[in-house]
Amino acid sequence: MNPSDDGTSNLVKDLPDEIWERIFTNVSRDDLDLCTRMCRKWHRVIEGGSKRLTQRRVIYGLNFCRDPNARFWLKVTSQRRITIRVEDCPTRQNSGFYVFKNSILDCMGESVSDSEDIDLLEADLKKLCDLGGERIPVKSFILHYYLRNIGQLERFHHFFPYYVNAEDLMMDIPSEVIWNKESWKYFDFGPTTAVNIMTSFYSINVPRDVPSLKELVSGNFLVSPNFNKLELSHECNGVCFISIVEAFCKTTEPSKFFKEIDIHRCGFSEFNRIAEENGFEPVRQVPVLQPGGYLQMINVHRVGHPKLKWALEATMADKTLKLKIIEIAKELVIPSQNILDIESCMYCYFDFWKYFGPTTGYSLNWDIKTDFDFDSTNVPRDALSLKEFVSGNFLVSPNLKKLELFHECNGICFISIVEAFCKTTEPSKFFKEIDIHRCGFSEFNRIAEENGFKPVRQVLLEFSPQDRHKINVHRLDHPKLKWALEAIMRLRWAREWLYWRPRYKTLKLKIMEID
Amino acid sequence: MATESANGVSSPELNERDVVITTNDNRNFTVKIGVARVSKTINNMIQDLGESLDLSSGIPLPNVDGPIFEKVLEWCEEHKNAPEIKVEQDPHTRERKWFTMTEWEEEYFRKFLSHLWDLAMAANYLEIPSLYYYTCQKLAERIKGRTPEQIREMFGIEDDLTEEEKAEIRRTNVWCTY
Repeated sequence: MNPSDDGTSNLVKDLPDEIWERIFTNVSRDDLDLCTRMCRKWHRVIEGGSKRLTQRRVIYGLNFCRDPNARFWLKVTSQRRITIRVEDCPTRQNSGFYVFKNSILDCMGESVSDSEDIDLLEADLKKLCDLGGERIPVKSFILHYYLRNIGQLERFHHFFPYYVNAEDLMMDIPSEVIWNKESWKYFDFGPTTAVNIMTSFYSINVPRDVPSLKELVSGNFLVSPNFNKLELSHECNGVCFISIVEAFCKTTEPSKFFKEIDIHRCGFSEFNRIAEENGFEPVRQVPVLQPGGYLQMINVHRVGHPKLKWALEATMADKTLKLKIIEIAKELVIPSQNILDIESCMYCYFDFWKYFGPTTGYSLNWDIKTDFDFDSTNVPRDALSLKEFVSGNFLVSPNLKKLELFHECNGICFISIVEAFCKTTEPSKFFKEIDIHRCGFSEFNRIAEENGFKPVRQVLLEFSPQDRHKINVHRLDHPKLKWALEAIMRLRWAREWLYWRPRYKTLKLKIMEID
Repeated sequence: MATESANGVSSPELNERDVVITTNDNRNFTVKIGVARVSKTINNMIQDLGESLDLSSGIPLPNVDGPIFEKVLEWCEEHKNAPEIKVEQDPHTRERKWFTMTEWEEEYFRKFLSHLWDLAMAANYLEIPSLYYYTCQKLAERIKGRTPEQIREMFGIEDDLTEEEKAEIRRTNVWCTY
């Protein structure tokens, strides 16, 4: 492989810095962490204040602990599973210990959920900020803390930007705070932080809150230039929906309008009629995942602004009404809305295969990229990778335990895994368990049967205390070896707002040796 | 592109005409102007010369040798009508999104595997963005997701850092645990 009549050893020295810099733009920050200690030249290129090497290390795990008897400590883990632990101690000060430098935290929020006291929340954030060396860089910050009154919101608004640099901020605001106009000036977290608000709209307060709602969504009264999404719940008779439509038709600055509004737990059943009465027309259809894992095509309704080139689009699925404001002139660049969150391809993890070290059994979370139109270019490529990956033949690690896949939609993953299993010569290296979440295909029994599975026994599964079902376990024997693959299709529950509801199907696959 | 008709000849016609390019080992290559223009450096020379361009006496390339230029020309021939490449990055990680290569391009790099750095240097000098970016991506493949030992072996890197320097690197970048 290695070329080298001209002496590879000189390659690093011969290639100009500029070209090395260009090469380094292709790798992750985790890779740069390794390269920077390889040799003097690479270190100079990487740390030399290059403006091109802007990539950020993604931090997945963030833990911290405050114990009255122990020190405060912070623990963070990168994509390459490198873990940094910092303890608060007197000698640490001014040591130039920048944990957050060139990093971004994927998500932050769970950790402050227990805080009852806003002072404690501030103290925690301050500590993290001090220990990490700079403002905590976060992709999405979810405030689980319930701000009870305007005073607390004002406090939060004051200290939050000092300690956290969030791209998205999600806040749960009680209705008595949000519908009071006095609170609105505290929702401005600057142009780089998109603000998302969740709140309730109780029907007993309709006369008082409706004018507030109209003004809030219209954007005309807002200080914040960066309102992104509003989530309302407990709408019961269409009053919110109609108010928002009215506010939209009257607004003179649609660019300041909330970009997205979700109304959860909509209690009104006649959405189509109400939409039509308010000037909406169905314009196209989108696929939506229904509870139970079925895909259904749903109408997108649209109403145009009476004067400006803007439109409001509405889709109603599973008792959630989604509203989106769109500039008609720019419509072409806005991708047609896919309600499901489908992202990231597996191939980027392909490179990580060799890092599933030999000692531990990692559980992996993968997203497989599939389009509902089935014109995805990635399916053929990734299905092949998937087969090789599950087969275990290419793996270094003898101890891969569980693989979790998402967004399977037409059985392709399932069939690929079955094929890989039937062909494998070393089932002991095969993944021991594979879960496929969000299965979009409804005919599991038929597909399983066609691929040689037979129901062998039944198991009793508890979905909720009131809901128990007997479910078939399907089994496929390996054509040559004494191994079998067992499959169960079960329903997953997920929390929506405050309630657990059946959300999507999960196909569980397990490999076992037959005595 | 503004001065495409510098010679008083319209662009499609000019693209069909031949130009002689001389590499630093005195080899002459007769190339269609449309192909040579994939290189912005050569394109600029042709435009700068304008009226005085003598197609037969040739354009000198003092920084490229014949064998490499031959390989570069192969790329230019294939990419003469290709649109400008789009460089995109992931908004969150700010990592460059990798280009998907065509069968032809994969085969091209397989064929010239041992000349990647020469191609990178030549593409940089000749300003051929597609070849430059793709070659750099190919070289980055040898770094991405690999262990320190693999990288060191792949590029034959000598460890020329002193212990003090290493300690300093570890101090300023806590993530550098290697």
